[in-house]
Amino acid sequence: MFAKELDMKKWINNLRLKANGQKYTCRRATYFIEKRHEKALNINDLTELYMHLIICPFCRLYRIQSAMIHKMLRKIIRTESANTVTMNGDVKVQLQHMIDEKNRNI
Amino acid sequence: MLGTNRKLDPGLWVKNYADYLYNFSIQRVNDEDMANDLVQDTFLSALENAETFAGNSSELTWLRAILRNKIIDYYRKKSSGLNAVTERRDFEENPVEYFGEDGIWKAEFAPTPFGNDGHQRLNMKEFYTVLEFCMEKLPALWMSIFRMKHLDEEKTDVICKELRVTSSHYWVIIHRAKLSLRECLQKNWI
Repeated sequence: MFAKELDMKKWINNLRLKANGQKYTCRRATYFIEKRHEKALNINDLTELYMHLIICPFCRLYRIQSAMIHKMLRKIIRTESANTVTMNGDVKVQLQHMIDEKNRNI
Repeated sequence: MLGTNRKLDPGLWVKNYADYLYNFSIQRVNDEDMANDLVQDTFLSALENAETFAGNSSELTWLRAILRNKIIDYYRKKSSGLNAVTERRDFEENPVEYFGEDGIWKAEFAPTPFGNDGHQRLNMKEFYTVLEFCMEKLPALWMSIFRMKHLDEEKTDVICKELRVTSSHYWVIIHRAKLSLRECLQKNWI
């Protein structure tokens, strides 16, 4: 169904008709999807999200992709932090010198 | 001289703590020079405020708390200061509008499966590379939020308080950041 640009427009128009007059929108649904990664939604928001997901294939896909990105993002940030590095030796010498100097003057 | 303060021993600070503090800061600011500066600032303000060291916590805990405040100041400056006004201003001032007025996806932004072929198994390594590339493009404040969230496991309200954003603004930022990451992945995934 995502194969052609034309089909996509048809789908979106279709969705527009279904969503017409409803408060359930893709904007709000994606917002709730993001919020839900960190926080439980209240029953009204959760209902709103699911009512929308029933009619919207794009937001259903968004939910899957968003979960994947969330997981990867976490992993990348954690990996960055797992690589321990040490401070440059020259910088250390200068730094200790500066501390001694200042400490003498206090 | 602080020789009278038996609890503090500045003569051994670099030897004992420099690597740890440097590591702590580089994980959060991702810039070697800035990490060095932050550690230096930490030691200097520790000396100036030596009398505030109560001795209840260890020297290291105390130094780390000072460093942590310096890092948060740095985040704040980065998000509101000169750095934020360069190439990244577009994000805040001209946010991409992914949805139509009725709140439905615009056709050009509606999610499609990543990659040419939806059935193709995603190459995870490549996914990482593209995601890292996309993360680079996010505004500093947004990345600061992600780092605080995932590195320090900070609660949302603590992050909001420290970065001085309201909780509704926080969720708007997270929402926009993720929309933009997803869009970037979609575009750059071949």
